[in-house]
Amino acid sequence: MSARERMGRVYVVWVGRPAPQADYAHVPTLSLAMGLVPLPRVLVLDPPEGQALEAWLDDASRPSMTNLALVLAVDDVDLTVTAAAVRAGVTCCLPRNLSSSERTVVLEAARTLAEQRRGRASADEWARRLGPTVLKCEWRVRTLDEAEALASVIAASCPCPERRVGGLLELLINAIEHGNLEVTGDEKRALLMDGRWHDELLARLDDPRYASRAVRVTFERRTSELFITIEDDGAGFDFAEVLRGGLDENFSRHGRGIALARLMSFDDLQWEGRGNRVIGRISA
Amino acid sequence: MIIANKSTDGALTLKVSGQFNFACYKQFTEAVGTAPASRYVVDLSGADYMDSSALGMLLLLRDKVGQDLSRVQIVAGSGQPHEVLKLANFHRLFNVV
Repeated sequence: MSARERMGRVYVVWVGRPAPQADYAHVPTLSLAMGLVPLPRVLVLDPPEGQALEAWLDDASRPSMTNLALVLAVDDVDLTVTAAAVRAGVTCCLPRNLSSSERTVVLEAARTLAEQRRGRASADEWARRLGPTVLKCEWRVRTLDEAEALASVIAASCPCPERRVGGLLELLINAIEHGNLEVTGDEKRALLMDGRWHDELLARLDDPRYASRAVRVTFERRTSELFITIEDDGAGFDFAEVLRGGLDENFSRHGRGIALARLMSFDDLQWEGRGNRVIGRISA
Repeated sequence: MIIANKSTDGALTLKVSGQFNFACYKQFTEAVGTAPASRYVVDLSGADYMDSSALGMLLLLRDKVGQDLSRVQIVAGSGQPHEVLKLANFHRLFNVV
């Protein structure tokens, strides 16, 4: 970090492409010009001495958070401060006592994170605008990554998307893990405990017994209702037994994911077939 | 992410930030399993999401303290985790603040 400059009480690294001046009118121009090292679009902020960090984070006159990795310089990494900073839009914290090479690692990580976030924000914007126009759609997913992305895509086509993501994800994860890959609840707990869960899922996805299995998902908008169908290739489960206990009961036994999905995200859930197909209904 | 911190009075605080989901399982169970404590505080004020696995972890903690539920306190925070705890009626099972 040879190209850093302290200007006044704001400690700034601007690197890479020229800064959009409108966003940084209050940042001394010289600071912007000084920071030319090959780490694009990272801005390090050092809060003014003597000012409470919380107040500084709340200050709307700070630089714009869009399209940038914002890194907050701190004396100690403290979880409360980090959480407050991240909530305020800061990408990550950078302890002041790091060596030059350590700083580079943190700043590179911040840049990657910010670029991922920017990509997501752009995708979210498209989903928000186009989601309500979707009438009918069909997908085929196999992995948890695909399930996570699909939950967000479907949620964007539903009213109150933020309420739908969690329930959709619970059902999709169930279909992949317990349905297609036949991981039992006890096995999952043991694998999570040993830190082997992720590797085991990858191994099962490649296992000839499960490799051809997929989860088929459809979305359909009818007059005043949305229907989401999730069907896996597994052996199904005794849904009557799980549902018999009632939702309250299920929160302290098995089927917590199902109970949570039903209460949080859907107006109704119906299982069909051998329990390998679930249809969720949402009032539009 | 979970940061465990034991205070001088023997209370173990588990501060959760970001997503409280299946990925936290190992951290949570190890923190609870290896550090017996007089009291447990699960602080979700920094969490922005919790799933059904997280509910399962809280029930594990409940099993650990047996009948004495006054030994577990959940700081619900706001947003999605708060709503999930409410939907799951965990206010009946735990001391939720």
